[in-house]
Amino acid sequence: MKKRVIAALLAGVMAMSLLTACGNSEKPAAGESTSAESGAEAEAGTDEETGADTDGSEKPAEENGETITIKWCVPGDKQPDHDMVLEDVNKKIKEKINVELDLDIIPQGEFNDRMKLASTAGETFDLVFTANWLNSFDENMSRDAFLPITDLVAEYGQDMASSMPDWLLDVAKVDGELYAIPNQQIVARQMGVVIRKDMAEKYNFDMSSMESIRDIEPFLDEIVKNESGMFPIDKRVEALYEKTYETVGSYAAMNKETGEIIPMSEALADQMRLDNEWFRKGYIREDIATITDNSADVKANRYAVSLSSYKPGWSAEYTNRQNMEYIDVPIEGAYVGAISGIETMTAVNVNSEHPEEAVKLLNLVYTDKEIFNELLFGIEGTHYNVVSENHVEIVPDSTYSFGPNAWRIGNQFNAWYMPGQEDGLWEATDKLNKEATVSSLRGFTFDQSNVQAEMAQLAAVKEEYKNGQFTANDIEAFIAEYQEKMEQAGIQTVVDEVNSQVAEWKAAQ
Amino acid sequence: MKKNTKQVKKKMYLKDNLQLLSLALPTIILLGVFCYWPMFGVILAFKDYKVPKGIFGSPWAGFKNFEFFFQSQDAWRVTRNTLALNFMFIAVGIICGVVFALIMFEVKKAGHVKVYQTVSIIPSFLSWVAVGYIVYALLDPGKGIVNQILVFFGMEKIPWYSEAKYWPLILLLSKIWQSVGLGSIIYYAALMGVDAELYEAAEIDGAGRLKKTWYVSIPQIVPIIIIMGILDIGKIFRADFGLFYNVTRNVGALYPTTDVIDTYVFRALMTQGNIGMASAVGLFQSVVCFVTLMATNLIVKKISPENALF
Amino acid sequence: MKRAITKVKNPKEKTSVWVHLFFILFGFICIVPFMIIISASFSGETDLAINGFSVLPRKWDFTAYAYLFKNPKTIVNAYAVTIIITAVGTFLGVLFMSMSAYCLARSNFRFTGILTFYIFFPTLFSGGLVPSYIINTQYLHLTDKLAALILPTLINVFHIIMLRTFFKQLPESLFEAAKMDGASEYHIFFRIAIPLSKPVIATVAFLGALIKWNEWYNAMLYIRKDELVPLQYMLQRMMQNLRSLLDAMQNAPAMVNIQDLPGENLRMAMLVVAIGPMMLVFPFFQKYFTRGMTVGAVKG
Repeated sequence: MKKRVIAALLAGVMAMSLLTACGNSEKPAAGESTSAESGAEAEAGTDEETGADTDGSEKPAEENGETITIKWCVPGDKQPDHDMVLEDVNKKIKEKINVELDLDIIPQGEFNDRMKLASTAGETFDLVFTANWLNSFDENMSRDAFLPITDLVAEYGQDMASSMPDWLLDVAKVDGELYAIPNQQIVARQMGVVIRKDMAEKYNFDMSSMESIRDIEPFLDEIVKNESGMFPIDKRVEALYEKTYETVGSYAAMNKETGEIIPMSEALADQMRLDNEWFRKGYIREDIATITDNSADVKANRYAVSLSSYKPGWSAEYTNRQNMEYIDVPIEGAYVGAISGIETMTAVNVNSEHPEEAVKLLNLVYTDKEIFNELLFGIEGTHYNVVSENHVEIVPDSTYSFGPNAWRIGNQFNAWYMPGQEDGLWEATDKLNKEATVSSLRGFTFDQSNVQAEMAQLAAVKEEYKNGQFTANDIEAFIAEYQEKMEQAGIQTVVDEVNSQVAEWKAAQ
Repeated sequence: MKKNTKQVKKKMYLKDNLQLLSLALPTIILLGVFCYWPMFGVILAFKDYKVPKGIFGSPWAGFKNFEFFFQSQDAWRVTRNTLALNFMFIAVGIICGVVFALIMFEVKKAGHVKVYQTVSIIPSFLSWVAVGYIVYALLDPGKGIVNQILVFFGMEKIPWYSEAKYWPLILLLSKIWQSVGLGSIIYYAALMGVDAELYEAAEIDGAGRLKKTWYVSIPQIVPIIIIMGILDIGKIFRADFGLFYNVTRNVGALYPTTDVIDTYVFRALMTQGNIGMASAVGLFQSVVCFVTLMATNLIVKKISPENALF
Repeated sequence: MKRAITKVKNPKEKTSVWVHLFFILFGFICIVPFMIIISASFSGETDLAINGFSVLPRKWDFTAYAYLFKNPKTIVNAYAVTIIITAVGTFLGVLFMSMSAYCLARSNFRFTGILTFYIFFPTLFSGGLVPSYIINTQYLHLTDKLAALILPTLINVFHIIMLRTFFKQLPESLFEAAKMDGASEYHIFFRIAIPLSKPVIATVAFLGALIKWNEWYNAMLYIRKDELVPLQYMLQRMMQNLRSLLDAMQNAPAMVNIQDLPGENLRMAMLVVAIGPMMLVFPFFQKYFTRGMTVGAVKG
């Protein structure tokens, strides 16, 4: 008897596993060509689901035949009321261009992996965030993952194209074809510091005296001497290096004045010496090499100075956030590099089935203040309140506040101001962008396909020597070793490649 | 007559084999679907992958994807570190696991065994990120407990995170500490299966504790020790990324002794790397693992055939 | 049967003091770091940044847990998902794996060599993430199905080999005797092999449960619906969420008062929340490590 029960059980289990297996193995018989089709199938499946979620039993794709859903992948944090806001905003989008937006918010830490997989697997999402630091534009370009959109933008994206300075679009052009739309925000780069106001006053720091980055040293000395519980400076940028050089092709440095292009490892030498000196003088925290996350110290206002890139309204933001007054000081002039603007862009997936509608939608979000702000702040009264014209306030414990992500999805200058942001901030930022010195290489993009092996090796060496310059006992030996290793990893090959591509590009101008 | 029994036997044999095969079927199917089917992906290592063309349609790249690793000045360093450190982990790990299980076997009260075992597997629940924090709490150059002790005894502080020479040992200790409790369970389970009569017989012969361990316990668990060894050697070319990345805090100064293949590839391909290059290194690791495993298995087969894997 | 076992054991035997000492010392170095973690989870973030870790919290602070349990419903749901995938996955996994391991261990099985190779080969070569992803999403349609969290990791080759090694240790005479009585291989497997191998099955089940309990990567790839997110992945996402709030400091005015947000203490609290239940179930597996099991059963 027992035996039979067991046999029956076993048979059941077998049958189950066989079933799943059969279900699995039926489809792929046709081989490679099915991959795109079934990708489309899967896509259609999810579309139906989201359709059902939002409109009950209505099947938009079939009923009015025309409404197309555009899937847009953006890094960020999905808000609890995401579906509700999207449903509401979709009514407006549908009315205007008869398109529905399926905004897929993917946690930033997963974005690289997931987009790489989705794109490689031939999925048919339409719009995607890309940059040099996340979902790399160059890497995507190296596998033809983006659709050239020059013509589409000329036809459906005129409004957004004309809203930006002429040079901005250049960053996403490869061989004359446009592959992405840069978002508008602070693009020009200017070094600057924010300083705790109480400290600045206590030690009579004269901000008008700041001309070069080294002018802050006497102030830092005071902090080292008198404020034992504090760290003098949080150094986030290579200010000395950036004063003279601009990075091209990740590992080559162009002298801004002479236009000469040299290996980055050579250009960085002075910066490294300065870092080492600052560490020895106690300006830099002792555990700089091992600290992986200093946000707790930033929050606790333990840094007297933060050296980073400047933007209008910086100190106001800092003050608002830190519950402590800060002042900001820009150093040097503002500069637009060859690829400034690459930090935040939106591209069209090469496998998108509706590239026209995708560009239409992007154009709408980019230029329509109402829609853009609803995507950022949600629904008035529920998620935010209007304080005055163009100023909003988030309700406490709001279940939808995507506002800080404005720079991820379009033209930040269309966003409403939040507490801590002053009127005219966007105009000031826009002005800074437009008045900045523009790099002589603006419009040049480096094609790394010939030097990929070198680029990978260089990336490994660069990471190895990161932060080592601070703690090195013999900085000259450290620099020599670093340069030697970069040399071995093929930095000269990359520099030569950059030089020849630049020469070619200049000849074509 | 004779022929008849032979036939019956053959029939039985066939039936047995069919039954046995049916028992293995779910495993065969699941491995087929989730492991064998995706294996076509190894060709990515030889492709210059282009999204619009798909995996099969993309142009061949020859060995271009392998170049970045094999040309690298660090290839030798990371290969050496991976092999040496992993070998050390395997050898010391097995010895400690077995010794731990043997000592546990000496605990006679079931209640004590429960408490000791539970406590000793606590570290296995901790992720490498957490272990990294603990190691940092110990070795932090400023506030670290170890340096405070050194100072207390009038010795010089040691800047642990800039002295590469200490790290093979630190990593080994972290690894053993984290895994010995859980790792010993399998050996303990094996000891549970040893026929008690063997111990009784040994006792009658006047064997003491150590002798019983040496002549009864260990020989009885040799097969599982060998199998665990072979399984581990099959992974010798793949490093535990979490351990090497989190416990060292990815500090460059420690790379001479702690940089392994997996961390190197992660660093090199983090932002710009393409799928082909990652596949290439994966394939390289697979091939080396395959060769070492086959060699080990062959050696085991020569010495004690019944314990070999295949 | 219990009695038979205790009989086998020599009641006069006593545990040596050195053995106790060893485990007390080792237990100490296992528990102290764990206490440091628990203590960190109950400490304030700024306190940690300034004073570092300690065995007991200098000042009790519950921000990390308050943040974790902000939406108790989600966390309960995540626990439920994790419990389901762990229970189902461990049960099916152990069943299938011991079935095939038994097969490999039997001397009358003809295909031992080839099947061992078939089972072992995937641990050496894998096609990588991309093809798996394509197959799982486009052919098997596992997106947003719990099966995506159960099936791909059901079979662990190392565990099969462990089981096989144990089954092989069972006396051959046992199987022959059963065969003589006309028992089928199914019968021998379920009625003889399994009951005699409880320690190893418990071990493998526990190791397997641990892996499934910590599952998050497949969830990241294949789960989109919030109600199907398992615990570890939910915790990961919470941490990320927090990180990006902090990152946003660089780019935009904060929408919340960042001074109240947890940091490293949250990471530690997540660890406590995630491993607590697994530590509680360990004794359940442990009760199968009973000395003399095999012998008692064979002789009895």
